[in-house]
Amino acid sequence: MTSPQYQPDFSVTNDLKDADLQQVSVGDFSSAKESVDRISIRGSTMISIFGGSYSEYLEHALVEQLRQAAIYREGAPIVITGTLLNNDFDGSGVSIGESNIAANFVVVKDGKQVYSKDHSIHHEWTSSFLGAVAIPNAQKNYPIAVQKLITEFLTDPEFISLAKS
Amino acid sequence: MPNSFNFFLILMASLATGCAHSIQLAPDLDDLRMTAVSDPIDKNVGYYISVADRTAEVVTPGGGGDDVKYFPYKDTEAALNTMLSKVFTRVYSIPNLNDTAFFEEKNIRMIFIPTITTDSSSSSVVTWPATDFTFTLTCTVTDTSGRKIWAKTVSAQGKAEFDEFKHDHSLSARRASEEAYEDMLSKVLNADVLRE
Repeated sequence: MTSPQYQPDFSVTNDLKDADLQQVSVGDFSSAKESVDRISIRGSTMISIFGGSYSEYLEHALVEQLRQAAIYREGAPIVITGTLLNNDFDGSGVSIGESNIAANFVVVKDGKQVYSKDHSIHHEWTSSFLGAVAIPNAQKNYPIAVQKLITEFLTDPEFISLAKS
Repeated sequence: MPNSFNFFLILMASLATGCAHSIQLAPDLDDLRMTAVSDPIDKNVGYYISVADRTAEVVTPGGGGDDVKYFPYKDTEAALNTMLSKVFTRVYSIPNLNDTAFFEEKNIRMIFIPTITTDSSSSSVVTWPATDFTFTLTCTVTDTSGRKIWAKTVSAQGKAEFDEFKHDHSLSARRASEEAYEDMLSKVLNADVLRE
């Protein structure tokens, strides 16, 4: 089983488009520990579509989110990198599934680090006693959890302020 | 993993009859992004996808007696936003078709409303992914008062064989949606009425 493709959060793209932000680029994201690249849902492994790496999943998701907001340009002098700190994803609950994802986001502007902050989210979804329902429900919710983490970072007033034109 | 083992896994999954398997229609956007647009339109536009459409899960036939299920509007919203952003100065997602204050604040001149219909089938009796997928996209454009000013329908068919889709069960669908949005981009660029 593979992770679903990331779907951007369009509820924040309008605001990002109007925020007069400079173009930004995205550098490498790394994993803080091996366990962040392992997700198991009721005994089935969900493998990241990016070579098994969930830090790369986060990196590509951020690029897509920025592209949809028209503020991504490869090689731009504002560079975002990060580290996936935590990637707990639990679909074992019979009524609720939940995830806790955390990452450290770093912004370098004109060669100087101007931002380093940990962001974390908690996400819940409807689960089921039946694995045939619970496993696909959990699978579908991974991109939503990542959306929440990315939105948390991109709407941080401190990030908005330093990325302003 | 050996090919024979992949085949075995898909075969076993197919034998669980009556299943609807999740796929994603989200196309590869690289070609759409790289399409050269020499004459963009200097207008802000919006697009509207209702909550009902965005959350609608559609089920169509796959192979081996199974079905495939997907969210056509949610899966391809990025393609719609990308396609419109190639042509227009700024593109907004519109939360409500009656929010005239929103239109004025964003200087929105036109609203694109997509309608998507899909169908699928498979030539295989032992594997569930669709080998053929049809994606039909209609874009209806109105002004901010709701008056229709343009509409166009495009339809694309995506095909994928076992050797290709064993690594991407959504491949035929992605191919179809990609071609449809690329075709629609060309139709939008050639619509003089949208430049008036």
